[in-house]
Amino acid sequence: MILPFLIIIPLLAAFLITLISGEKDNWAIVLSVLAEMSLLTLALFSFFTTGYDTFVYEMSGWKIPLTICLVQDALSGFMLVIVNLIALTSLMFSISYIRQYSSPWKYYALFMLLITGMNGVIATGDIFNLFVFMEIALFAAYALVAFGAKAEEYEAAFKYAVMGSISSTLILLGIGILYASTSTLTMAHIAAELQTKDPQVTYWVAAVFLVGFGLKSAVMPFHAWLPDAHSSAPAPISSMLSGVLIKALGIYAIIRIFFNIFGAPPVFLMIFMVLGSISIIVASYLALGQWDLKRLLAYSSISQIGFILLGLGIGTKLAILGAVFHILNHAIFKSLLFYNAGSVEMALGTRDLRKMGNLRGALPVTTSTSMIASLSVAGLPPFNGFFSKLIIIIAAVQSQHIIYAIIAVIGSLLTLAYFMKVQRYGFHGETVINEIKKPVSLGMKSAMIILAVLCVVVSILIIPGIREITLDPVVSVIISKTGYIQAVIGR
Amino acid sequence: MVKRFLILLVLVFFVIMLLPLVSDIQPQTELNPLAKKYVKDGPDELGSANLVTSVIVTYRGLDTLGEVAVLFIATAGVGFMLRRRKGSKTNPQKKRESSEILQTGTALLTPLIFLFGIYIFLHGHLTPGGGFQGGVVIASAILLSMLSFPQSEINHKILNAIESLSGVLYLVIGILGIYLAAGFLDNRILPLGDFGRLFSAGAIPVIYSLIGLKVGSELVGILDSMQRSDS
Repeated sequence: MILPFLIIIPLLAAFLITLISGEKDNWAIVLSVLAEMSLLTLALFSFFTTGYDTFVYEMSGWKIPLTICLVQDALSGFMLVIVNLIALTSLMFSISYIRQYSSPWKYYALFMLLITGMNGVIATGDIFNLFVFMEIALFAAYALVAFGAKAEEYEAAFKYAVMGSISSTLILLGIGILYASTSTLTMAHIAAELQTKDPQVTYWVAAVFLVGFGLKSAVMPFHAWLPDAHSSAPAPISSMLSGVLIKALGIYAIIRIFFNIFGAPPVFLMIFMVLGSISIIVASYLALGQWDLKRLLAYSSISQIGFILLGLGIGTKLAILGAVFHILNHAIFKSLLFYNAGSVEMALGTRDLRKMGNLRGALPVTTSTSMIASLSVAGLPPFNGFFSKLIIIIAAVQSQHIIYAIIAVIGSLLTLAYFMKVQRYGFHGETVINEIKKPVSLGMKSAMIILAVLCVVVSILIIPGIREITLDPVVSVIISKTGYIQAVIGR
Repeated sequence: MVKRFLILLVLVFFVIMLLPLVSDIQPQTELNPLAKKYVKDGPDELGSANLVTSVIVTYRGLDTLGEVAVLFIATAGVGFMLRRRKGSKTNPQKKRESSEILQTGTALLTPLIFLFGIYIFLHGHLTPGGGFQGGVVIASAILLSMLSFPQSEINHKILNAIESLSGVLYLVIGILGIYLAAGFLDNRILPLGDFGRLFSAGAIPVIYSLIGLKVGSELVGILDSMQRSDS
């Protein structure tokens, strides 16, 4: 019963914002914050009430496969919480940040549509519907990347649009093949039908989807659009894109399709591990050479996605726990880092690490929260990033993948190295900066503080008692593979 | 040269990869099970003579809502990217008056095209066509008058209001389905009526009229942004 409202509320908010907004953005802010708060409440409620159950909502009162269904299980609840949590802080950050651009109310309408798309992708149980909502999220993302209306932003948005369209075409091709061979679009029915079909169909479609969703989640070698798009967007949008969009559209879809529909064929798990390790090492190395703070963070996102994919590829219960936990952790600290970059850009007008300096006096909140976020992403205890990376490495060792464990350790060290660079040049450099162009507003500060606190607090999810009600149900959805079929059809 | 060759290589690879998919196709002699169910039960369950419409608007209504949202973003995106910079006025000299024949013809045709567009979306549940098609026909009427009266300005407030209001109403009808009928976007909130009549098929004609208005105003918005940007 909750599920359709996760799509209705942001869509209604988007239409209402365009209906009532004039030149001022006051109403747009009120509406979108209200919508987002109710969405977060609904998402938290649905996550904590679901547990190991699966709820199916069939649209317009017909039965699947005649109609579209929305599926709510622990995995979708978990992703919905992440998306809406980051979205709420991103809105708090946006309020004063976006006023530097023209017609800010349009931003809120597009932002709400971005949320609609992501919530829809996560909630839906129908593969074509997933495609439709993916397009909503992507179109909104293209427009938001170009929101600054400068030449480089248009270029980044165009590049993103081209790459996004290529991947969408491939995904649509895959959906077409699936429909032709199973004559249904409901994911659970597709999964059930595929078990009786020639496994070649699965392999062909999986290969097409691997490229398609690989482009969406920006793993190497499909990453080329990400550094441009994520560094050119306004800071709160960068945090949405890096923090949640690549996970909702990329990683979540990969989990749903490869694990729950295709039943995790071993050869694809192997490919995940290889692609994940390439992403970890190469992207970390590329990040090390960047001087543009947001570009560095964008490359860092690619390498962290590599960790998630590596965890999924190892495929043991522990490894998937690590991957799932890392999805949450990466959303939190990467969004925080992009807020830091945004407030520095607003205060100093630069993203170049060499032009920054000692910001302790001028931007105390930004500096201290960026320190926490850097330590989390580099994987130092007691911050959340440490635990998820540790779990992935232990799982790799346990399952005899020593080389992958070593790659993950090297990746972590490289991450530490480039975040030391960020801290050394960007926030604790030699030149003491006291003058700032624009002050960092209260909303921006509180968004950063909330996420910095979460960086520490989220670590408690790993304590067994808490893990059993939060992360374990999510892992069980992924690990049970085609248990999804039974959960959706055999109610 | 090397780049061209590589592109060619990629294309050849795709052809080889996809050729078996196309060449081995067996012509289907009967509908697949899902389509059969739609054909068998659709008219009775929804009361819509046009089966395609009942699949689009009701069975898979959420996809249509999604498509409407995509078009909404596309309009907003085009309008945003091609927006007029502050201070840059359109150059009146560039816009030449069109000929009298064109102007008279437009004045004669515009109401008829409008009528045709409205007919198409109102009869979406009876005859081929529907909201998207009707909306495009309406937008073509506006395009014709844009071409023949280049000086005329479109009122953005009204356009914007039609666009978002029809979106809001579409959603409201969907939500009413949750409370008055079996689920979100259920068309049975209104009586199904007599099969094949204008007032039949529950809320489908209402939804399609709203989609028609929305698509029409969105496409006019895109045309308008493009027209203003080239000056």
